[in-house]
Amino acid sequence: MNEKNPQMRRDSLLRRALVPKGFRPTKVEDIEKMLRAIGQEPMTDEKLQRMLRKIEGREPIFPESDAEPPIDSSELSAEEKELVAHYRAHNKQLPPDLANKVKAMENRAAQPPPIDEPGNGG
Amino acid sequence: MPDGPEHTDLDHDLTLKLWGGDDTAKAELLHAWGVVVEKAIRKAYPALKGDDPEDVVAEGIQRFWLWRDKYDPNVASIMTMLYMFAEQVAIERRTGKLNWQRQQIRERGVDADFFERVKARPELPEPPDDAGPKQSPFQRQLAECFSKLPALQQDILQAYGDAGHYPLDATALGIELGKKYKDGSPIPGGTIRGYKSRAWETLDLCMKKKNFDLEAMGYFDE
Repeated sequence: MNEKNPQMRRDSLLRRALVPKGFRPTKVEDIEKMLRAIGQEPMTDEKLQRMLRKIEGREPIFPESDAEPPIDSSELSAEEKELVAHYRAHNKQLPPDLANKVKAMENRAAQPPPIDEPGNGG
Repeated sequence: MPDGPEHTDLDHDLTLKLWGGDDTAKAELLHAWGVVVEKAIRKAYPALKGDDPEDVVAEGIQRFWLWRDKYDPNVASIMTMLYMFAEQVAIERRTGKLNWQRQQIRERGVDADFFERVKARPELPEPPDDAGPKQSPFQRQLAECFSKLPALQQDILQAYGDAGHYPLDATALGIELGKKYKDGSPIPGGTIRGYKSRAWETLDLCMKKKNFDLEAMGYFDE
């Protein structure tokens, strides 16, 4: 029966070997317990301001990822994704067909998200 | 008292601010729980280095903010929800899917699948190697064998482990690891899978020398 138990996957086993049990909770109650055990600690003002800038989009989050538009889309095959990453890594121009496809994808990704943002509490 | 998450006055105040879209709530979220969530992420995803844990928390809060009107205090406290969002970002970061997920959010707004995954936490029986509160001798031996693998193989195996139930795309992981190990040239998905098999063969041998037969014990690779 073990072959059906996802806990018996070697990937899961390795994670259990590398991460202490208390830090891999799956249930909401256990997450709560873990966080309460760590304990609340106020954030320094400098860090708070920096993280606020990130959350509000005034400073990049994962800057090296932002520098590079996403290429991992369901519209591209695995080979195409690798090809795009390879060309970009070597600052080479993409073949025209692929370049057009990527451009269209990037244009769509650059559009603002269609999320209803409520006002500022007023 | 009914079962459910504990709520403090801060939770109540912030819940109202979240639902009302009050921008000042962002700083309060950070001030109250930013540090604790970041500490937990560092422990839970030790492969995240440098500024990554801070960025994971920042992006988690950013996404939580987009989702805030769906927040249900009966499901989990705000602190727990922040951790769950940050954990999802950590997994995406570890598996090379961060940009893809960001693109999904930009293109489709709040991604229903993403938020379903955040909420769906499968309860699984405790596996035999994980009994007791501390690392078992078997886990300790495996960690020791793992530490002797080449760095790239360690990164690959750990990413698969960190992915958990999240589907790992070997191509996306190869692109991410190519930045670290190959000056930006992607490592093909097939090569990633090849390295993974080789790494497990090495671990199998190492564990056999310590009298643990992973296959006979029922541990399987996919």
